Amino acid sequence: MLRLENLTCGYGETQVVRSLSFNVKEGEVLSFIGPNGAGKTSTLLCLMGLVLCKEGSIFYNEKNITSLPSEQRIKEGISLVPEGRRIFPDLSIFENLMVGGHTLSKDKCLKNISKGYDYFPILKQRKNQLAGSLSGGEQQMLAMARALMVNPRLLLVDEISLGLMPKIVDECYEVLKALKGQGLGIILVEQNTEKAIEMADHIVVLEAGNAIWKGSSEMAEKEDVIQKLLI
Amino acid sequence: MLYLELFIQGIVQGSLYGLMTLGLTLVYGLLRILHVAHAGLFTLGGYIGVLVTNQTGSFGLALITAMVTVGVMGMGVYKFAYEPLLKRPPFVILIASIALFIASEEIFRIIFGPYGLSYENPPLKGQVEIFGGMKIKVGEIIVIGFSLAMLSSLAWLSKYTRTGMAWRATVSDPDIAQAFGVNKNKVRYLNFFMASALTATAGVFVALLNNLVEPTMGSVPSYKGLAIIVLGGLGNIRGTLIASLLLGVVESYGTIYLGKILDRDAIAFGLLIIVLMIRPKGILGEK
Repeated sequence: MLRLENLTCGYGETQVVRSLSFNVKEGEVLSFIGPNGAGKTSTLLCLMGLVLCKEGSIFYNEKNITSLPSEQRIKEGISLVPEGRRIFPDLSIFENLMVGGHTLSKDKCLKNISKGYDYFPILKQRKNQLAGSLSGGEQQMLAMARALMVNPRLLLVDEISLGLMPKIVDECYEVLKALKGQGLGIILVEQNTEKAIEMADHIVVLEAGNAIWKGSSEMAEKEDVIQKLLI
Repeated sequence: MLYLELFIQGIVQGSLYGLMTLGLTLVYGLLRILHVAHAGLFTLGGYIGVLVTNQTGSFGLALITAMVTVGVMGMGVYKFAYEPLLKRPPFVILIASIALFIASEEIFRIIFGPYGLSYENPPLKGQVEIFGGMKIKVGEIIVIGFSLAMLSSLAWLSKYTRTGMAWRATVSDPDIAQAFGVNKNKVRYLNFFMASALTATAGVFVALLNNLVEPTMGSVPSYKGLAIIVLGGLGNIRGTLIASLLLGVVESYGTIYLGKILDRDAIAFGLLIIVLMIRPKGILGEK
């Protein structure tokens, strides 16, 4: 589904990620693990077309999308749940979801909004409330519902558990598992390594922009990768 | 009766300030640019209003022509003057904007002459009697009505249309809006078009009420506009409108009661200083 070949990306002159290669298949979860500043978020933003890809190629369903603008990548079926949620605080829940479906027709948009409400019923109850006034957990649900508006086939999820109560984190992971079950490919960036390994099929450990370990989550557990490499 | 008359005058002036400065706020809200050249577009609106009315006799046509032409010019200013400088520190764009404004005054002087133009046959010049024998110019009623209509349609567009939502999302977080397929360049062009079209109408109406448009018509609005958007809270649309009306009314009373000591602009900046002492981020500024 997604194939990265020697991806190097960064901002201006700076390279943040160097020569990164990996594959994600449908229904698979790949987790990025690594310390702050390792380049995890930049990789996701680069996949979304928001950070410059300097070298290498990104193939999505065998199509080279390396130089495609964000707008086209969404249409291809890639969507992002950004770090820190980054919902639009001055827009209502409903309006946030409408912007999430900006590339869709209005009818399709309304249909997908009601699907989003099925995943997260609380959003329906508060649909006219300003997103900025929601709790952290509700904002995270909104960020996920917004990313699902475009019926993505590949979901990029950045730090979903950051600053949230464990109960809410579990709820968000339940939704991710359901989506995985529906055949979505998911790339997960997570500080909570336990959750990341539990959820993932494959793990990539990043440090200072380089992939220092790659393998299946079973291997990661067997080799005690986290203890050895990161602590 | 004088009180009421002054109040109405203040609202007329405030509506004009609103039409003029809303664009400044739109531009600041989206790009954090202090768009001084906006006042040049305001003057251009005034010129087009007078010229088209004198040529065709139709004030309505003049208003529409001014909105469209100045709207397109505003997009041009963004494209050729601001876009290439967006990655530089904000003062670079501010300097470019000031330069553009000064150049525009000289261009108006070269093209239209130094003495200004008037309506050959001023439109909407009648007066209407409202209660108690008080009279108000038709032009002034039109100014208030038109501003209300423009601002409510703008509010409606931004609240209920998908373009409006995308625009507000871009103001809030341009990168994430882009990640959901909102084309930020389209939003920026639309923003400059709307901002410039609004200020063009202010220019047309000021030229109408004074029956004069001259090259330096924008010089007072260029800095007073900045005072108003600071007063309202930078980037805050509702704040800008409140500040515009407040300033219109305060100036209107002020020139009668304080006119001997302070001139009109001194009153405006006096109000700015007082408000900023109490609310440093402006009337509706973010905390």
